[in-house]
Amino acid sequence: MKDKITMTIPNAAEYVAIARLTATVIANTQGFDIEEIEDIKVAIGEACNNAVMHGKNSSNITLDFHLDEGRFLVEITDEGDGFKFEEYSEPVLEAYEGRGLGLFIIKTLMDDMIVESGMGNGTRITLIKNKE
Amino acid sequence: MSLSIDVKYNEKKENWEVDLVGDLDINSSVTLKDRLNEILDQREADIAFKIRDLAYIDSTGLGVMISLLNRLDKNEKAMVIMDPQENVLKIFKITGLDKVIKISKEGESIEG
Ligand SMILES: Nc1ncnc2c1ncn2[C@@H]1O[C@H](COP(=O)(O)OP(=O)(O)OP(=O)(O)O)[C@@H](O)[C@H]1O
Ligand SMILES: [Mg+2]
Repeated sequence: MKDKITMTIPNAAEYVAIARLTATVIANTQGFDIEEIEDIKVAIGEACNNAVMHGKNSSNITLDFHLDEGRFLVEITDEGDGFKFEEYSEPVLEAYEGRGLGLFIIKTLMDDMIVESGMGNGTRITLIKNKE
Repeated sequence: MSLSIDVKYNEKKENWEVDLVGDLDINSSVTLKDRLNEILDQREADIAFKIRDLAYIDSTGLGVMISLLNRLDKNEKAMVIMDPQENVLKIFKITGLDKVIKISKEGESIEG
């Protein structure tokens, strides 16, 4: 089995930076370059932001970093209210409503984003970035 | 890293100069938003952000910039973002915000 690092932070804004920084250390250890590490940092920040802002009933956020060869893979889980990802639509960038940019940013920066969520069931978002 | 916000009014240029150092993220964006509204209530003027030492921005930070832009637009004032680092500029670019917000590097304007 591959190694895994699990981290649990309280579901609050002031702890998101700790999760972000941890992700950069792990990505760095895995040999990603500076730009890729920045991408990973932002994507993990956005996923944690969503847990804090939309998963209010969750007391924690759990991050499982899977130390796979050749790729960065993290699962970010909250036990909040969840949402219907089927009903998510990408922001209309030209409208500049200032809302709904997080998932779009994640999708742009990562190679894969898998969202498992349901009303009342919490949310798990899996982010993958492959090494060039 | 947290965010440090340094604000002064430039009498000569008749604009607000806002220096941002650190991380503009979920933990600091509300503070920045409140501070900006406060200074604009005091004096409705253009705003220049100096962000050479801003290390990080996320969607909550972009949200602050968008709502600020809306307020300034209404009052026919302008904003400019000066000297972003590459990673910060990238976030403006992928969200298309570089097309509506003026971004300049070392005094020169870069086209979006
Ligand atoms: N962990 C989560 N728990 C519950 N709902 C979520 C979660 N993550 C995303 N969502 C839902 O998906 C929507 C889109 O998320 P996205 O991050 O794209 O935008 P946002 O968070 O609303 O705004 P922004 O990210 O620009 O601050 C959210 O408004 C929310 O309804
Ligand atoms: Mg979000």
